[in-house]
Amino acid sequence: VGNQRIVEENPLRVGLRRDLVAEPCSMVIFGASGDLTRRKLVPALYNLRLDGLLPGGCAVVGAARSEMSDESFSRSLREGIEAHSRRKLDESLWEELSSSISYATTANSAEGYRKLGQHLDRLDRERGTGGNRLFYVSTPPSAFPGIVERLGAAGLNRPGKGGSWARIVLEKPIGHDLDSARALNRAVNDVFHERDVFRIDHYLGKETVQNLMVFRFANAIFEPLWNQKYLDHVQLTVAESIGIEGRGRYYEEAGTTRDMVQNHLFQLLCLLAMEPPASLRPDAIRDEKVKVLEALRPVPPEAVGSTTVRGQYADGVVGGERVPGYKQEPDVAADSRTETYVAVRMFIDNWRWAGVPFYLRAGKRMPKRVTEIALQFRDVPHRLFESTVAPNTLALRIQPDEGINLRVEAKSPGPKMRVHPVGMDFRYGTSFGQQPPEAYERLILDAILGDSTLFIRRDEVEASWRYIDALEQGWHGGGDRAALPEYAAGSWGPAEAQQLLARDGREWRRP
Amino acid sequence: MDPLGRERAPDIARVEAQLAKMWRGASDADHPVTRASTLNLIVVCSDEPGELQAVTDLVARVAETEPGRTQVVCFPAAGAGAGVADEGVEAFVSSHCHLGPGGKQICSEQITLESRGSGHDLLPATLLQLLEGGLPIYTFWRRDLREHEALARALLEISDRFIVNSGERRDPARALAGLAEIVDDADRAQAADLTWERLECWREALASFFDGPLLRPGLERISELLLVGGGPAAPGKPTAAAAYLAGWLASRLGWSRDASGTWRRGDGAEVAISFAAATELPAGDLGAAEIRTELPGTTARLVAQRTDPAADIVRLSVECAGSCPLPWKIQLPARDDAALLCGLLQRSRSDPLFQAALEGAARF
Repeated sequence: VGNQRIVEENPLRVGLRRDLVAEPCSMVIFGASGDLTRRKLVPALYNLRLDGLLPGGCAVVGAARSEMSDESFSRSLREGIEAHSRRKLDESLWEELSSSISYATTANSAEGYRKLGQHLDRLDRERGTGGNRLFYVSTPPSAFPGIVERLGAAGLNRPGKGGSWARIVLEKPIGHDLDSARALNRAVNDVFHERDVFRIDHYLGKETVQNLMVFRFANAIFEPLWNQKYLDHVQLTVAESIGIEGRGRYYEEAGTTRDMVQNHLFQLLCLLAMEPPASLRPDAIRDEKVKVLEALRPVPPEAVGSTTVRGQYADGVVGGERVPGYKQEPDVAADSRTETYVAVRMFIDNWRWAGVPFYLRAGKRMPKRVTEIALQFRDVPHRLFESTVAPNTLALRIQPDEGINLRVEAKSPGPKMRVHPVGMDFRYGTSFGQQPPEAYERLILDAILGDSTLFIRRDEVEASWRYIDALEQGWHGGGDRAALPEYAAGSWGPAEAQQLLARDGREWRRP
Repeated sequence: MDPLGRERAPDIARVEAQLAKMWRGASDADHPVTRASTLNLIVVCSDEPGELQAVTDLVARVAETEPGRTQVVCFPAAGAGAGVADEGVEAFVSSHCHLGPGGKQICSEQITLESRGSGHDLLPATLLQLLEGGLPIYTFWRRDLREHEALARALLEISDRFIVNSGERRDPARALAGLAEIVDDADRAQAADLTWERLECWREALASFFDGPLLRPGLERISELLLVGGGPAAPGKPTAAAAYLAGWLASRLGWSRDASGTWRRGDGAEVAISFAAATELPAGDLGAAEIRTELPGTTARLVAQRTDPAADIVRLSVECAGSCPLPWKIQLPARDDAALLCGLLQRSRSDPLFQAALEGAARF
């Protein structure tokens, strides 16, 4: 509201691309020495500054238990920008940005947080940040409750005078099951009002994910077909060619279902399947997303085996290189039962989607990195042509090569009536002549602006865990006897996953 | 003229046949070519040396994202081109291709019309007949608007958008006045100017000074404005870019010019507006903007300036008493004429801010 007020009062803003402007603030990063800070957060901040989207007063404060000098912290951020920014580091801009970077040791103590508060007060005076604080928590989840509690105890959760704000951004995962997610949400909401809590899923910051809504609700030709009457089934794929990249300890706890399905895949599913929101207000959209999750048909434990497939990668070849199997990765148990692949057939029990299967799959060490949604339309009601007519498919490519492809049938040139599929392509890179910004740029800016549209609300998190818990119960409730077939690294998953669709007379797309 | 004394116009059917032949020959089984067309673009060249090549390069860039049929009109000097008649319109066809998704070649077509002598009178009809039906028509006029005025008027009547680049004209004041005139007269075409489009980031920069509560009161109390523009301008007169920016501020803030030529705020106080030219900057660009304004009990000087003339980094700073905002820097996006033109081809709505800014700009 504060940001909106400023815009309305500045007549020079009328008609400009940026109709909302960020106010100066201090962004406090917990987990400042972590990989995410160097790879994503700081390059995003740098690019936002480069685009003039953050005012000069904005400050970056690294916060962690351990001691570090401002200079060391600043140097590590510079290295992060040099290695990971989509645009080259400009010395003169860095000079200015580096003056806004500082480091505060919290020592995980009340005293440490009191000092952090004093540090932020000083920045308010020196840089004009006006009491605005964005706390970005990118620590391991186990540290979330302690940080939130100490922020509250130090009074840093409360907005200051004159309409300033205090917001908190939480990285995934939010819990590892429904109970832990509820406990964490309770702990966070005891300290921060839900409107000030920004649970991040970086998929929502991707332009192509946002384009899902535009594609559906700004084009009159697609939405009438977006239902059980015209669609045969829907496939959602999140495939990664990489393995676990040294995160064995984390992955052993999480597995693909918690790491990818509960968040990224479910968010895609929500945007794909939700009803048109009444407006673009954050809660109007999030209300519709929750309705999708609440309409997911529950899976009883005895049905989990027939509607899901888990798998674990064995050694194989990816990108021309031989790679080890999951059990040979560092920090992975030799008898690990953790899945690196999961496929699920699910149904959304509502008027729009009754009877339409949604096939979701996510996996590591797949042949290539691709995230895609494919809607397969029903077959023509009567076949006129001799040659095989493939059903129309609308594929929404989230990454890489963001774009949309519609497969239609056309007549091949020649005297015979031969039918051949052709693709109609829209690619972001070529159609708009520019690459979209990184997801974190959009999300950090939105958090500073106070726009929670692209963040996940508490009830969304809990509804998605409710479904995942049922699957986990089916897999492990009887003593972890669920099948866990291996698949060769570099393949599209275990044969059982092909059978999951084959039983329905369908097959996975080859993205 | 042909031997019977008739003016020589291109045979439209023959041009179309040449295009069809070109496309038939372009594709083979191994290297399929897709001809794509989403618009008609008419480019009227200036007489600058190397203009046709520059325009052809521009069209090739535009075709990558906005494929369509482009007609390029040029006026070779008398005697230029061996074996070409001195009168009439000659047509040549060519294509622009780029590798699209899936390795397919996506191609657009260019028809170049060379007009000489009495051929100029045939141009409007020729252009009209060579348009692709059902597609929007955009004209990019790269000359002084008062040259070939009949052609300009004809194109204004058929175009959906009429685009100029007044920053590149030798006499910016004349260019802006001419543009303001056609904006008034045009029934159909929406006018647009690449010079105005290029200013968006500068408008963002100046607006950002007044986003915060500290400087916001100064917006209605601006007393001085200095703008430094690149390219040609008479001493003390604005470049086209500077005139647009001043015109935009005047229209947004309700400044008006009195009978003596002085600009005044809504409360009657004078706004001293001055201009300087920076020869090292490209024509149509801006080098700096400086605003002096009154705040409660003090004054503030707001400066947006490139860190050096060739840099695309602009430093914004505020000098005032008390706790001023800290300086910050922004990067001007690298948007050349092709990128700006593509932006205009993608936009369908009129731009009332541009029209208001032009009205003011034409008065400097």
